[in-house]
Amino acid sequence: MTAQHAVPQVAMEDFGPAVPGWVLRLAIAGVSTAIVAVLGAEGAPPAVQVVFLLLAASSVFSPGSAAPGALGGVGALVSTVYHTGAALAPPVLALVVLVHLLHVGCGLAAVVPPRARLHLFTLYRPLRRFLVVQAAVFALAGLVSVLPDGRNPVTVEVLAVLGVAGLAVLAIVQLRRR
Amino acid sequence: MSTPLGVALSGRAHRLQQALRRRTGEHWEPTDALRRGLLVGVGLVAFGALSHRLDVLLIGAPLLLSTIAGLTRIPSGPVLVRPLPAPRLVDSMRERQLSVEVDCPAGTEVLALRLPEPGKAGPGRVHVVPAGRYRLSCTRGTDGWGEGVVLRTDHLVSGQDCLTMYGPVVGSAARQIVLPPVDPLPAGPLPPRAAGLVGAHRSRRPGDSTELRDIRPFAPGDRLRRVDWRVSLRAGFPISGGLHVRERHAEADADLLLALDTRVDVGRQLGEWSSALGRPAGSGTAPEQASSLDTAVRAAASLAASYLRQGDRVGLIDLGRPQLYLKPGSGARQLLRLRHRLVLSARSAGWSPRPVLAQQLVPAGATVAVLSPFLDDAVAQLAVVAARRGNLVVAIDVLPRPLVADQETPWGEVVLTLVRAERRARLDGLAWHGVPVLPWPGGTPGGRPGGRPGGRPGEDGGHATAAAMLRRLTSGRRPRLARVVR
Repeated sequence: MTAQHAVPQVAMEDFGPAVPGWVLRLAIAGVSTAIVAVLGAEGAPPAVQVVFLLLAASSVFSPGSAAPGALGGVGALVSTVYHTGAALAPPVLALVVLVHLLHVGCGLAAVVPPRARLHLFTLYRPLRRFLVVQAAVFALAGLVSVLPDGRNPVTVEVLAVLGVAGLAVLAIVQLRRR
Repeated sequence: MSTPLGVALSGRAHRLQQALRRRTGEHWEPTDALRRGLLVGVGLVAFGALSHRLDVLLIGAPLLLSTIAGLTRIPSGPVLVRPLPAPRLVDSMRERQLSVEVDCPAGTEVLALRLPEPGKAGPGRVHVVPAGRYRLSCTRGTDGWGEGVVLRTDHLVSGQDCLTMYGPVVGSAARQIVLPPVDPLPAGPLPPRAAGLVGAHRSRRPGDSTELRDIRPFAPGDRLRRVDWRVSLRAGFPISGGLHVRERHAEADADLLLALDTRVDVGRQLGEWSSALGRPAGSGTAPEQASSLDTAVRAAASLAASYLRQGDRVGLIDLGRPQLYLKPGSGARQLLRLRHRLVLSARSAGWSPRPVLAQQLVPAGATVAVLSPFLDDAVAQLAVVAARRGNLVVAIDVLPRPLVADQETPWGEVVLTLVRAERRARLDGLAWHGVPVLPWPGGTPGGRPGGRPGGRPGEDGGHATAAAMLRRLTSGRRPRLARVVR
């Protein structure tokens, strides 16, 4: 058998049902609104919520712009201003899921035109990876919740920050190599 | 053997190739998602670690983790998305299967690919499917015809979580010639029968067979043995009347010459007449949006198929471009040639301002069917001149109906009235000169046969009427002026 015969023949029906591309934008709108709602529940004033709603609208109409990053990143920072409860409170855990979902959804929506047909089988691998990452983060959160509170030694903290910076440098080097 | 010069040249060629690919989008590049994941993920995790905010760290952790996971499998190398070779010439009546070869490198996840939609014209929609290595088959079955691009594989490929992308790339195009469809026409008033040499209809040309064609007054050149003495005596010969001769049919098949007017292509909207229609004829539009040339080509193909099926000889002449003349012939191969020539004629539409029908291109005794919207006097004069040469000429009116006035100008209704009046006078003139005018209802809503679900071929009233009238006219008897069909 030659290599040419090994190429499988598939039809469009094999990729499962399809939905219009704007459904993805609709999902982003829902996730963005949920993030703003969480911030509102944390106690953010209406003016801040309006600003975040504008960022949410920008994320829906231009998912490839800086708006999703601003909504997720600044939203997380703003939540720390108004959040006064425990670190693993439900609003925080909701933001863990929502910000990640916004990131993945906007990444996909940036390459899918609104009038395109999105075959649902395409979402299988991103969804599986999303669940794996969320499971790892929630496992980390569970681990942290059972650890004793208190201040860490300065050396450990510096090492942790250096480790994060090292990851970023590694990613940049990996990119430049390509 | 790799010499230093060869290595240098290949490196230079490689860099040149890379530069060209950057210009065409055929290269991998990071997306906003990657920048967002790194910036927001690292920023939140670092801020959380420095400020001892576990909640911020946890919010940023998924972004950083998924970005790092995506960076471990960054795809590289070219993406191959190309249409597989398809037949150059296809029949529009058949459903067309097209295949696209997809070969994406490891690490890719999403492929956005433009594919044609079944039953719709144009390059089609973008479909987002999993990336990989496979052959993707799709169906394209439009009602359109003509030469054009049937598949263009514009594509964009992205890696994990769309952190990197390749494209968008304007893909290579697959061109095909789609032959005009053949609508089934009724068999006509006379059923097919074995007569003449091959076809069901005998030639209208006078000849030396035994079958009587006509009795007419003696003319210089007639043989004396053709004189019908009984009729001549009844007519008063030699006192008051002249000699009469018996004219017989020729031992030849009937010739039908389809004269296609490709100079103009108009639709129902008068406001669009002064500009191009914006779409080529035969692009698979709805029947109520069909242009005059689209209707004419479909009518010509259907008539040719109907007559050729009965063994008659059918030819084609493009009144706007006589070089595309196809002399009358018979058989299935002639139908294929004729449909192909129709596509070529439609492609060169509007080439000439004046219609041309040279006398030497019209066989003696042939029936000439002039397919035109009859918007100018030149084509009407051409039909009349052809009729005066002795041919039976039938004018087939292919103007889409009902015409719609231009709503953007207050003179729209007036212009419509003038156009209708001019056409009425023109068609009346044709009828007065013995040229029957048959309206072909292809441009009217529901005018195409087979359009009614479950309907039998030929049940459509408009086509049945036009085709039956044409058959009656070409069945051998010369039409009288009073029986002109309007």
